[in-house]
Amino acid sequence: MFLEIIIMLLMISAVFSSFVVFAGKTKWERLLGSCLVSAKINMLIIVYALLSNKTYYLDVALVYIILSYVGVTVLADFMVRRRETK
Amino acid sequence: MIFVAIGNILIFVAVCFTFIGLFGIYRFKDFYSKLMASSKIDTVAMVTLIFGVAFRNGISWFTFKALLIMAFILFINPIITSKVALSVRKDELLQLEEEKERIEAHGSR
Repeated sequence: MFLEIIIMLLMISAVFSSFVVFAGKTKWERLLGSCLVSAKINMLIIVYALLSNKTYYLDVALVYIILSYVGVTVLADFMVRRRETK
Repeated sequence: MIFVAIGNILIFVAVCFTFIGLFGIYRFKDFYSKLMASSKIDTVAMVTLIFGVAFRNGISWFTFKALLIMAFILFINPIITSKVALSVRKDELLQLEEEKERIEAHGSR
């Protein structure tokens, strides 16, 4: 019961972080919002792995971290470089 | 039994940290302050959550994997934050340069 409540709270916080993506004033705030959402979803995956007691969900969390790192880094680089080539 | 209780408390504290960070992100006006709040809170919340998971599970393969994830996060999260901050700074400098060139081309107006 406790872990279900924790998952629900994490989902609420993920929804509130996704509002940052929609309501961001600049493109960088939107990027920050996507970073926030990925962190929250990562925590959710770890708690779900604890709830269902399956180890392989943690592999999913690990891959998700690496992919979010690559995504944010490449997007940040790309958004600067597009202005340079103009 | 006491370890499970400690783990539950740590997991709840981690969720509280995420909500405090969200409050900070909605409250701060400056972008760099928002970046600071998001990076600090995500790292702290994730580390607390993984310590809670480790306390609940005891010494096992699950705990080892969770600690591996924590090591990755401690490496990766500061890199993401510094990369975004550097890109924002670069973007601002490029914008200033463009403005200067525009003023030089069209006079002081």
